[in-house]
Order: sequence, then C-alpha cells, then structure tokens
Amino acid sequence: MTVAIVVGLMVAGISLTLFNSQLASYRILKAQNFLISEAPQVNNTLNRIVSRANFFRMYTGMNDAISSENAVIENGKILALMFQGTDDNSQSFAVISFDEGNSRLDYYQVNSMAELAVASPSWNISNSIKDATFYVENGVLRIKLVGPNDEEIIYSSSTLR
Amino acid sequence: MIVELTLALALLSAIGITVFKSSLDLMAPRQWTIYQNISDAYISYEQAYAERVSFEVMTSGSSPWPVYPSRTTTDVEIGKFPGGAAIMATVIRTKIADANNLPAAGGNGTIETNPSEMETWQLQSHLTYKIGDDEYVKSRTVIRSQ
Repeated sequence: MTVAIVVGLMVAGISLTLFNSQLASYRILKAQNFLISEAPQVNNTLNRIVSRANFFRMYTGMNDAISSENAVIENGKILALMFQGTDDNSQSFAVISFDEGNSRLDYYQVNSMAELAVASPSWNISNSIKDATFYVENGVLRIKLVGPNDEEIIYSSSTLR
Repeated sequence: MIVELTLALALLSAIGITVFKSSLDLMAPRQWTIYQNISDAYISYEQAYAERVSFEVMTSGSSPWPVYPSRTTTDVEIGKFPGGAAIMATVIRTKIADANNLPAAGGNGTIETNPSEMETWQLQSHLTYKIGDDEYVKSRTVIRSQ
C-alpha cells in the first residue's frame, strides 16, 4: 500500500511538473512574439513609408506637431514625413505617432500638419508597443521600439536624397 | 495496482521528456530568429550611415571608416531580449580604396588612367555576434565616389 501511495504521489508530482513546464514554455514563446513577428512587420511598414519621404521632422508632442513648432532630433514621439508631389505646390504629410496612453503606433495621412488636430489615424501600425522613440544619429533616422516585455529593437532608415 | 501505477509513471516520464525536448526544439530556432531580426535592424544603421556620411568626413584622418588594414572595433548594444537583457555585438569598420584612385587617395591610378581624379572607396561594416559558442558575421558594403 505504501509503495502504491509513493508511486501515486510521484505520478501526481510529474503531472504537475509537466503542466508547469508547459506553462513556462508557453510564457516564453508568448514573450518572444514581439521580436519574432510584430517587430519585423513594423519595420517593413516604417521602411516603406520613410524611404519614400522627401524629408522628416520629429516632435515630442502632438501640439508641437500640429503647429509645426519645436522640432527635435532626439526623444521624438511623433515623426512627420513630407512627400513632395510632381507639382511644387502639392505636398502631403504622413505622421507616425506613438500614443503612450493606448500603447499604439498610429499612422496619419494629412494634407497639412494642422489637419492633425481633427484627423483620425488612417492605420494602426502596431498596438503592442510599450514605447517608441525617434531620434537622429549622424544624420540617420533611428527608431527605437520597446515591446511589451521590455525587449528592444532599433531600426534605422533614411529618406529620399 | 503497483504495476499500473509504475506503467503510468513510466508513460508520464516519457511524455514529459518528449514534450520538454519539443519545447526546446521550438525555442532554439525562435532564438535564432530574434538574433536575425535584431542584427538585421542594427546593421541597417551602418548602411544608412555609410551612405549619408559626408565625403569630407569619410576621407579625413578621423574617418569612422579607417583605411584598410586599419579598422575600428566598437562593442555595441544592438537590442534587448524580452525581460530587458542587453544583446551585444561588435562592429568593425574599414574602407578600401579603388585601385584606380590616385596615389594620394590610396590607389595606383595615374592622371592618364583617372583624368577626372575620381575617388572611389568601398566602405565595409561587419557586425559580429555570438549565439552559444558560434560566432556569426553580417556585413554591409557601400561604394562611395566623388
């Protein structure tokens, strides 16, 4: 009887360990998802947009972006890209904005920066970003993305020259 | 009773080992993919910088890309794993003169072979990183002319 109880306890113990290791594996796999699937898609989107722009500016807040004032070259949270059309007067703007409250990276398409005041995002580039920072290093636009588990990846891009 | 329990124990152990091994098999390539994504992202900076740096700075004595066989070696943080652990790598930069550059620009060209005094350089950046005991290199080369 004692032997049966001991073996039974071992079976229960192994079952529990098995269950725990499965849970741990699931947690690890889930934590890796941002760098494996989300970040490359964000990079692909940003690269396609930024590389077609004529020039960019960055701002720390939406109010500065709307008024096109106080542009910065580090710690930017909003990236404004200008696209020059074939006609000198035809310009359009793409704005990539990190919404800290909702952990979203949004894309706006506007004809003037002032339109941002009433514009709604055209796309949501990602909704699982903890932080996004735009900055310039040696003339190169760098985009630092922080994922939900503090993982970090830094992309670099340049506009049309 | 004991026989059944022992069989159950053996079966569970076998299942446990199989599941554990399959989890490891699943995680190893994902770890590889993380390194690929992060190193690809980082090296895009090297390419963009090499394309953007002014010719004057690039050819100066304090150039970020010294003339081969000189090189600069810099340890850099290319990203972070989930949990915030830093991922380190080493960037090696060097530049190689085109053979037809004039001697003052590192080549063997003459005013006859290079009448426009064209200066061409091959800027190389090599990112090296380790996964386990293996070392990997990712390279980008940019040609600059003036």
